[in-house]
Amino acid sequence: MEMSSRRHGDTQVVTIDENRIDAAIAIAFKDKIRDLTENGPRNVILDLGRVEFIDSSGLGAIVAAMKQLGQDRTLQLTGLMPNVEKVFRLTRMDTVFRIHESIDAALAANTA
Amino acid sequence: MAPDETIAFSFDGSAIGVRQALTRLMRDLQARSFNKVDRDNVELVLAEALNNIVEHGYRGGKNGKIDLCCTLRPEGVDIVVMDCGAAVPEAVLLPRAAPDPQTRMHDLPEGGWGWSMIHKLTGKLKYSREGDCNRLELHLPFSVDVRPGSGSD
Repeated sequence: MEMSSRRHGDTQVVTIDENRIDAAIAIAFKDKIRDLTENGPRNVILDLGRVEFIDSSGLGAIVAAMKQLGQDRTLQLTGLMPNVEKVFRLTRMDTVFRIHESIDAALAANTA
Repeated sequence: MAPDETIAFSFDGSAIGVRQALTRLMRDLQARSFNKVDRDNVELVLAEALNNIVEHGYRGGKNGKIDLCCTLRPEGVDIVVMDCGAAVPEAVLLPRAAPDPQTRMHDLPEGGWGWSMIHKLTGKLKYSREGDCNRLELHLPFSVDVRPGSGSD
């Protein structure tokens, strides 16, 4: 499970360096996100720009990652490809996450 | 595309086996000029159906095979999935609402979307228990995306 993290002031950007978040990888995803974001900044932006496919297990792992951050921190998303965006829409989880058009837009929204 | 062409193969009923099978099928469909939206729909529906088999049918480390057969027809694709795991409870096969996202954060669902996504993207669905095995038949018409007014939305 490859992901990388950069910090921009009060915001952390976690980039997923995998093309799938599926059942084979969901638990590793959850664990790695927790390690990367533990005691980190208040806002975490998950960059899914390289992810071509997500299934309900992968979606569940992203929801779990948000819950791990707790009430005082946020998990926001960017870089959703059409096929990934469709899964969020079909499950109505697009109403739960704040979704940005680009990393720049996400960073701007969080520094405003 | 030649009418009624068939792609059939077997694979391990494991998370990795499912991933490899989907990758192989997507490559085969792309080689047959399937458009992207249709490939994506087949991949998502099958991922959910196959993950259910691995997580529930073959639960508890029971190793088993899954047989997949896709018949490409002019109007869509017919898929048959066979496994010899536990039977699928009838209740989960009924069309149903996706978990409610309008809830407090710590109550948000972390799963339970699989069958509702299958129903939303599938034209026809038929399940039968044959001896000790399960047979799931799915028909996906070409280029249906989310149909407004279908399911719970």
